[in-house]
Amino acid sequence: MIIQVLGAFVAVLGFSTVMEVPKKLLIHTSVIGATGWLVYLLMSRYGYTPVMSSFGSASIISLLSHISARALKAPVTVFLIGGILPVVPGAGMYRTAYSLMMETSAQVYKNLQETLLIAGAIAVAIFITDSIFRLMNTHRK
Amino acid sequence: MCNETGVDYMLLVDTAVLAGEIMLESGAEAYRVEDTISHFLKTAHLKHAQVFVTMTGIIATLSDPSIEAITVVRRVSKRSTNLNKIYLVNDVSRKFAGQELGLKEAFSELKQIRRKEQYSLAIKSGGIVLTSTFFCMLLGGSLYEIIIAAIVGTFLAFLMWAGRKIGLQGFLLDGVNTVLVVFASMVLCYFIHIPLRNDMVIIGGIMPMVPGVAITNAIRDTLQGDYVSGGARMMEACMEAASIAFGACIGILLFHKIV
Repeated sequence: MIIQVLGAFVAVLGFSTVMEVPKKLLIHTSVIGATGWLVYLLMSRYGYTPVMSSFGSASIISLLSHISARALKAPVTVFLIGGILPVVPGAGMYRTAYSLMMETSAQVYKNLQETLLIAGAIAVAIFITDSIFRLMNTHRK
Repeated sequence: MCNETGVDYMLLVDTAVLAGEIMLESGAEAYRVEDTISHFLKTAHLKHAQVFVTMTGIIATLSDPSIEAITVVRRVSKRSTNLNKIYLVNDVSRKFAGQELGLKEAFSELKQIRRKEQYSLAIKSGGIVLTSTFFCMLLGGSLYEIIIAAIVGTFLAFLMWAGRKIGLQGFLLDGVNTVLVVFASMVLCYFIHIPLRNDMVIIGGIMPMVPGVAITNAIRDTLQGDYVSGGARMMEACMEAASIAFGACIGILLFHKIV
C-alpha cells in the first residue's frame, strides 16, 4: 500500500508538470494527490465500495486543496486539478470500453454505471467542500 | 483617455481584459475570470463595471455619466491548461487590489506572464512518462507491468509531440492517441511471455489524457450558477471521455483482428 501511495505521489508530480503547476507548489499538489489515494486505499480495505471510496478521497483532496489555497494564497484549481488525478475514473472508462468490445452487455452496464457514479461522487465531493468554504467566506465578511 | 482624477480608464479596461484573457486561455473557471476582471474594474469606482465571460470569450464594459463608456470584446479561441499562468495572474490581481502594484506595472507584468513557459517540452514529456508509469504503480501493478507502462508512456509522449507537429488537437488527438496506446500495450503484453494484466498498463497509458480538468471546472462553474460555462465544460468532458472510450474500443478491435 505504501508503494501504491508513493506511485500516486510521483504520478501526480508528473501530471502536474504537464498541467504547469507552479514549481514551488509541485510538492504540495503531489502530497495532496498521494493523501487522497491513501484515503481511497484505506476505505477500500475497510470494505467500502469504489464509489464511496472515491467520494471520501475526493472530499479529502478538495478539502486539502482549499486549505492550501488559503494558506499559500493561490487559486484552488492549482491544487485540485493535479490532486484529483488518482480518483478520476480513467480505469472505469477503459473497462467500459473493454466490456463493450469483449464482454456481455450486463458487464457493460455494470462498468458504465460505476464510472458515472464515481464521476458523480467526485462532483458531489467538490460541490460540498466548495459550498462549505463559500459559506465560511460570506460569514467572515 | 485620461480624466481629471488621472486614471487611464482605457488602460485599466485593457489590463483587466488581458488578465481575463490569460486566465481563460490557461483553463481557469469562468466565474474566477469574471471575478478577477471585476476586481480590476472596481478599482475605478465608476457607476457601472460589468463583465460577462463564457468559455470562449469576454465582454467587459466600464461606464459612468462622467466618461464615455468603454466596452471591450475579446474572443478567446485557443485553450490549454497552464496553472502557473492562472497562479501568476491571480498574484498580480491581488497585488494590484492591495495597491502594491501600479496600473502600468500590472499591465507590463501581465504581458510578460503571457509569454512565460515554465517547463520545456522535454520536462513535460517526462511528466507524461512519469504519469503513465506511476499510475500503473498506483493501481498496484507488478514490476514488469510498471516497466511496460513506462515504455507505453514514452510512446504516448512521442505521440503527443508528433500530433502537435501535424496539427491534430483536442479530442481528435486524444482519440487517435488512445487507439495507438491501447494497441501498443496489448501487443507488448502479448509478445512478452510473462503473465501480465494489460489493463493496468493501458489505464496508466490513457490517464494523461483523461478529462480531469474539464470535469473539475464543469463542477465548479456549475456550482457558481454559471450554467453556460458549466454546461459547455460538461460537454467538453463528455466529448473527451467519449473519444477516449471510442479510441480504446478501436484499439481493442484492431488487436483482436490483427494478432
